Amino acid sequence: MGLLTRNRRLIRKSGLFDEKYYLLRYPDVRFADVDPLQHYLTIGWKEGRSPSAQFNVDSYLQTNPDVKSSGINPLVHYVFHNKEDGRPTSADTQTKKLKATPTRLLTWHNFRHALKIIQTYGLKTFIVKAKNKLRAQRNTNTLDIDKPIRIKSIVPLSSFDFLGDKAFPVVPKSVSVIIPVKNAGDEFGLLLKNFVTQKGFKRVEIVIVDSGSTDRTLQTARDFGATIVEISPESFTHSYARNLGGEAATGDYLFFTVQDSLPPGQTFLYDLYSTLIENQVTAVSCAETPREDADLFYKQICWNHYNFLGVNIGDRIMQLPEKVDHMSLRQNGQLADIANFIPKETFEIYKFRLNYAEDLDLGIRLIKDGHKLAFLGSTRIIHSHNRPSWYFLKRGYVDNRFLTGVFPDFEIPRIVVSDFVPDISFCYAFLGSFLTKLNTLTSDPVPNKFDAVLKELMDTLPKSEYPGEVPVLGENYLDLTSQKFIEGLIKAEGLHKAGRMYDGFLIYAFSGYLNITSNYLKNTFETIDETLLLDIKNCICKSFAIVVGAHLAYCYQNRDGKESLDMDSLNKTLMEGV
Amino acid sequence: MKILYLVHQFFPQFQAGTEKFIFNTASMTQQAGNIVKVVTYDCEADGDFTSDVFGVRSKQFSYQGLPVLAFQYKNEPPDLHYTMDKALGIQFAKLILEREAPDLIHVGHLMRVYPIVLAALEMGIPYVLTLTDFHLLCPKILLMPTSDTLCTGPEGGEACAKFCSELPSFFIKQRLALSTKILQNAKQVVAPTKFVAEVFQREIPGIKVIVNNHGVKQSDLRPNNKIYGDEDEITFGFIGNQTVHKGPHLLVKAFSELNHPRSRLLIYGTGRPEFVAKLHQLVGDCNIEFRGSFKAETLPDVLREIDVFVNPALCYETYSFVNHEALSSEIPVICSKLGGMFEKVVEGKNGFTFPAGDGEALKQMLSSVVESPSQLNAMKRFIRLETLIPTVEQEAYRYDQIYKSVFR
Repeated sequence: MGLLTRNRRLIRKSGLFDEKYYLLRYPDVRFADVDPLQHYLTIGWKEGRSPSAQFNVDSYLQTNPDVKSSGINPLVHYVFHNKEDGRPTSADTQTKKLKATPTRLLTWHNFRHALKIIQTYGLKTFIVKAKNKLRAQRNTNTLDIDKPIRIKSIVPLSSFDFLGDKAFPVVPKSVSVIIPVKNAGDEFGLLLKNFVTQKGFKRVEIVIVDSGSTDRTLQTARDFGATIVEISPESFTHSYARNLGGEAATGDYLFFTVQDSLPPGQTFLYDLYSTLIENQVTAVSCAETPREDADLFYKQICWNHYNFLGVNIGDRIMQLPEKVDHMSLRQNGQLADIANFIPKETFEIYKFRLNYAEDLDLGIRLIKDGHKLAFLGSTRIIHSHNRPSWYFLKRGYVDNRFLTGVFPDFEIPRIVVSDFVPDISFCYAFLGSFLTKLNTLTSDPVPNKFDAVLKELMDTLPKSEYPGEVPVLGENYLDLTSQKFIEGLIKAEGLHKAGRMYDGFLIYAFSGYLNITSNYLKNTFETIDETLLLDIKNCICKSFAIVVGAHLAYCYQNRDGKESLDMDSLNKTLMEGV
Repeated sequence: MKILYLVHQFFPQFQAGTEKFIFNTASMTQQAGNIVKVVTYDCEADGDFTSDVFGVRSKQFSYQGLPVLAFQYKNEPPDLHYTMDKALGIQFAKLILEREAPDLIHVGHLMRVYPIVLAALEMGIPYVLTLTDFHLLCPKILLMPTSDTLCTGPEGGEACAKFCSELPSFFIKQRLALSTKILQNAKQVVAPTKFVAEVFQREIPGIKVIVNNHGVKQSDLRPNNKIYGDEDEITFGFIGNQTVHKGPHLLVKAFSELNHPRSRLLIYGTGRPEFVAKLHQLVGDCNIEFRGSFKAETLPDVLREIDVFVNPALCYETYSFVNHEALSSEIPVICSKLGGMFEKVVEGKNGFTFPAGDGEALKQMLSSVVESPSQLNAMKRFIRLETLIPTVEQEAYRYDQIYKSVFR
């Protein structure tokens, strides 16, 4: 007879499982439409659920720690072993007269345990332990409430001098922390508290530039004595807000950051300052470390970006490279808005320009003028966002619009929208198949399987045709705005290649981007479980969105006015809100 | 880098503070791009094991994205919870370390799983040790010789001989010697509070202990923005096991003696039936609600109802997550001046402390709050502006730096 069957019979016979009570008390079981006793036997008892009003699992486990550590279903334990001992079963019976302690201690289990203790440590140990146990029971029963706690010590603890309270050095300099804000949310106070308590400077000033907050942001800033610069929402640009903040700041050094960052410790600003002084660089930035709730996509793009910058394994001093092109400038002129430490006098000469990638622009201008910058991977600021696919579709678009606009050597692929949208249509169908195929990952849960699933699908490409109707994604990991946008594009311009063999390129760009996911998975995980699989699927959809957005930017750059799609309207939609 | 996290018990079977700390730190380390695995002890009788070697059963599973290896000795010794017998499970431990080949081990608790560290010592695998309680110094774990006394450490075994005479001196000496070896060979020893660091540094001269407070999951908490007038009703809250050493009886008695019409006490948690019965007897006609246990994810809702959090523990709390979660939610705290739990409480500024076990002093503090609730406004402001409670990210960041320092 199986264990479950035996337990089921025992419990049924005991009359201590009350189906009606169980279903009424636990509506999730009621809604799940499962056998309540089966639920209790397999899951319920482990979750501390009570089988009836007569038996409280939590109380029984607290009373009988041996049962808790044995991992046996407490009701089964009670029925099988101890009912005759009179162990209390219910919170309701807790108010009744208590059973005599000695009776409850005289069990077969305790007898065997006692024998083993005597064998290992001797009779004296056993006797004193038993006496203490009885005394503890007596104390519990009498509850000597106002009895002070006696602390026994040979040497008083207070005579010990703790080593960790040495004073931190203070430099005679001040720092202004500049934060553009708008509705900064509940955690803004935590951010300000962590900045005003930074160690190592004679003064830390907070300057916020608010562009129309309607929540408690301004009040919180006032509470912390911040200097407040207010601008209208319409006048906000990333550069304008930061420049105003920098001008209002009175510190010797400026630290630019964002409203949802968090310093990792109280010496964070001092670490950046020390780097600046000791390495004689003009400005210092650092990498970000994601928040605990960051999704896989954000983690992988951080990891990939810092691999690109070469700071995942250490810190870098950057200067103008010998070979100047858009890649080398981005690798060597990087400053980051999330953490940018710069002397006030340097800022006043350069300031920020542009409304996008103003941090990279500042870094490149500095290195072109012969300055050195530091980018730290060993010191990081806490920061991340969990944003929907739609944000990343736009982000991919804006990034490439910027790159093509700012770097003259950036080669724009010859993509036209009439060819590209059918390609999106094909890839959209591919995405649906890929998401479904990924369900097989958990049966052989090693990260290499991700590559195998992708390869299997990629191998079918030579025989694949463009779809004749808007593909159905099947699994909803792409947010609705992205789905609506992509499906709208496909309906308008994406079905005219229906039935022709696939000859596009987007699928290769997409699978190339998925290499980041593959590498990150192999670097970080040994197994893939259900939780990770969900994260992977979301991550793939965001990857798809960013690749589509990036290529739409090339389509816009290559427009000739003859497109059936309204390219200016498309541009406006995708440029908004990033 | 591959890091093994070693802990005496883990989710989903157990969900106390140490398990929470290991889960948070391992998850954050994993997301920083490292391979991690939790190695723990399985306390279930029908553990559904898949392997059985060298007298040890084991299985692997995943908990919220974290891989876990759980093992269990086939013949559990009677002193499983405090033994540090060198022979127990050592072959299995070596096998695991050979197979997993970690670059580093982070120890969260050594009870039951210490053979892994003994094997690491032999195999030259570095480890970092976080002192989550006093298990390494005290077989009784809590530094409580009896249920109503505390001590300040073994004093090389002298205090044990004096206060815990049931423990044979040969056993204490052997155990302390092994603990000292484990502590001295750790690449870094970390404590969640100054108090814990002090106890260990005092006992084992020469070891350096870094203090890294446990972090709270800030994203799970919401600030309590209530503003109080002097006629407002005040809800006090207690969250914890209903056991003598957590002191709920002290609070219930103080509250029932106060018996103020504008006050309420919420008690969360469960306990031994005898003890719970006694607590109920103390209630009288006071406004006290016993709310039982709650699911971890509902903590913000539980805290939202509480105006002042009370922790009357009679034992050394090495940190007390819930005190710090309350402070992070801008809730003033009244707690015993004992162990590591009051280090963030500034007297009269963000809460009050009272001598452990002094019910009269606790009653006066409760009375002071209900007579003048508006003082809580200043306290909440002080918490908002000046009380720094680290987040899990900040705690993990410090550990990341510690790990890197091992290989520098």
